[in-house]
Amino acid sequence: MAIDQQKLQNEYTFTGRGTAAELVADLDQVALLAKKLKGRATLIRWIALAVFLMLLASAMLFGGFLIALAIFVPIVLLICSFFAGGSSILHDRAEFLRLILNMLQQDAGTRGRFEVLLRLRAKPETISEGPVPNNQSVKQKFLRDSWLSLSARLSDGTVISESCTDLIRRRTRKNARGKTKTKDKRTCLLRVQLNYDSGRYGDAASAAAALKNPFRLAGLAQMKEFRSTDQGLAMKTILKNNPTVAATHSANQAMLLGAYRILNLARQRVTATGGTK
Amino acid sequence: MIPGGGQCPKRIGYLFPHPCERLTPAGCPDCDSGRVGDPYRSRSDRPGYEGDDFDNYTSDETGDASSPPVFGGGDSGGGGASVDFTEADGASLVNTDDAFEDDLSAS
Repeated sequence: MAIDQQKLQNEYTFTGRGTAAELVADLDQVALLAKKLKGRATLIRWIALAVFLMLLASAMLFGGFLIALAIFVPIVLLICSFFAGGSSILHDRAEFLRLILNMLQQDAGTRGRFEVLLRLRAKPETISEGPVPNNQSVKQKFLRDSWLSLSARLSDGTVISESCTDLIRRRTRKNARGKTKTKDKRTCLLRVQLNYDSGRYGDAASAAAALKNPFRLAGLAQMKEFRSTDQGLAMKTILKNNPTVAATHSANQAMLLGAYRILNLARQRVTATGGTK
Repeated sequence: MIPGGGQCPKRIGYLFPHPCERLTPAGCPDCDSGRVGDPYRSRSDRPGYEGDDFDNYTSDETGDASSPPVFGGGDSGGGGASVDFTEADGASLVNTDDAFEDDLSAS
């Protein structure tokens, strides 16, 4: 096993080192963990029902404060079952990591080692908060949740580093009946950096400057930045409106394919000028 | 087995070409048991690229060495866009059209 089991069980964080195949196999542990948590929640709900029935029967016999207990205790248990359940395990994140690993595995060779950290539960930090402009009755918060980092060395010597961060806009308001409503909107930022072997690829910055339209992003994915130097390529892409796993993977794929189109052109130029390695 | 022994000489890979490490094409998913001549070039699972586009560079694409790369996509940001992912990106979310404030049916 390539991952830290304790961190997975206690902190809901999938972290470890290994080949892509080993890590993909370990991702099955996430499904097992969710199943275990779901089983625990179901057990607590059954206990809540049993306690309710017992206290109800006792209340009918003895009355008094047992009626209050018959209502209060099961409610507490039901709330506990909600938190004990696996409902907050974010399976989409695990699925996204699986797709990345399956893609990179094809170019990492059998011995290529990966290092990953994937948070399976949201752990957002507040960036800012205040009222919505032009509507003081609605409050909004901006939260940031960094949930994935990955690094690996591919078989061409390139070191790849990737990360995913969510920016969440959370708006809350109270309606006329005093009920609080919350609505989230999520934007995802993907960062990819490739530190390439300049002996193999030469200076990819000149290939990047020469190649038109290297990045073929689809849908609402928007490239925020691209930098190229004689040692590395760095890209940032943003996906708005609660992007799906498929859209996030597609943007990630487009960034990597675009970057490698540049590198492959750089490599061809090195070969053409006789500077091969 | 590979004729003459040794490793398969075909190019495989998704992002870049590299030699196949297999000793026999039998059951190989890349070359379909030897039926595909150049598995790297023949891939059809690269979104945005058709046929052997990914491995071809036309003169239109590489002609002008002075022009910066153009970013594709339905919502292309263009070069030199902001780097950070904090308030700057948050502002664009604030201003998006959203009927939440008036939507009393939302739970």
